[in-house]
Amino acid sequence: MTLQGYREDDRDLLTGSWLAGELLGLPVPDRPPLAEPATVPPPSGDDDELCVLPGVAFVRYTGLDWVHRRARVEIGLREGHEDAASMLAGLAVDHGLRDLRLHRLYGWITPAVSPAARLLTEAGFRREVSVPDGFWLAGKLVEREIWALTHDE
Amino acid sequence: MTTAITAPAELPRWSSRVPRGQDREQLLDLFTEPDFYFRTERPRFLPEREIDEILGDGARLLLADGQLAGLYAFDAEGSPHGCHFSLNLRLRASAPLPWWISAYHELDRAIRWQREVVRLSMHFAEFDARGLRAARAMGLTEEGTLAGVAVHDGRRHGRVFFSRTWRPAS
Repeated sequence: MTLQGYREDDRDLLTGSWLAGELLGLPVPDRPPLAEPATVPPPSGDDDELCVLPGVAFVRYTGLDWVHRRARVEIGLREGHEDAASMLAGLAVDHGLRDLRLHRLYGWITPAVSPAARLLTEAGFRREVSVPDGFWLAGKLVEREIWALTHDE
Repeated sequence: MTTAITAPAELPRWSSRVPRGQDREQLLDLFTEPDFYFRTERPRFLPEREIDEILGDGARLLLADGQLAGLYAFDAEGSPHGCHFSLNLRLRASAPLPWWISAYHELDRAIRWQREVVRLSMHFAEFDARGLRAARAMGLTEEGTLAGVAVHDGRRHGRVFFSRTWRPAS
């Protein structure tokens, strides 16, 4: 499977039950049913690149810096497609490094609810920073982490 | 088209979403109910354009077992760091009181899951019997009445304020 360019028919993929801004956004257990879903905007300029795996997930490279060759990555998977998370992480890395020729990919992980650490490690990411009390979740401030991958030429 | 709500004894599974074009007929139908006081005190007299304005500013459909049961909207009050929000919640006339209570508690849980809330307030006009009954059943603190701010049926009425507050995180 390969990522594809975004089309208007893919719009439903841009809203879901992952945490906003999460590097590998999976549906959150025990999320209140009326909690506002996370959403990302359709691509609108040179600062972001949005790809999709139709019906399954989006991969967004935002804050693209073409000088320093870096981008923050967000992936959002639709409910029922959690099994594709590992593949998506690999596709996101491959597209970012090979097609976009980026040197550094990074993003947010929320350890309290994210099972993504192992998947991201397998995809080549490593934990760089812990940000204590960095995110409001489930009635309290929780730790968030920055995970990153740098490309060795 | 009116969607009948026929199972008052059990609490429904709640969900919500942004209004879409396909919802238009059902949405307009809500405002034919004489006491559908969602961001208005004169629902039956609103032109379609004003209904669009009401729905366009953060309103969400409230679905009970997938069927439209009402509308809600959270609005920030005052400066953003104050963590003060107001909730407009309206269920259609056929919804029983336990649904109001259940919907309120799910909305309370939802907004406080995602952000810090120090104060969540609601208000209902003095002539809004269903709204007042629901607010008092939800266990909110009744704070008082702002007199004479609404006109209904040829008379001026007040608006009754309710709230819950939580200790700030910092």
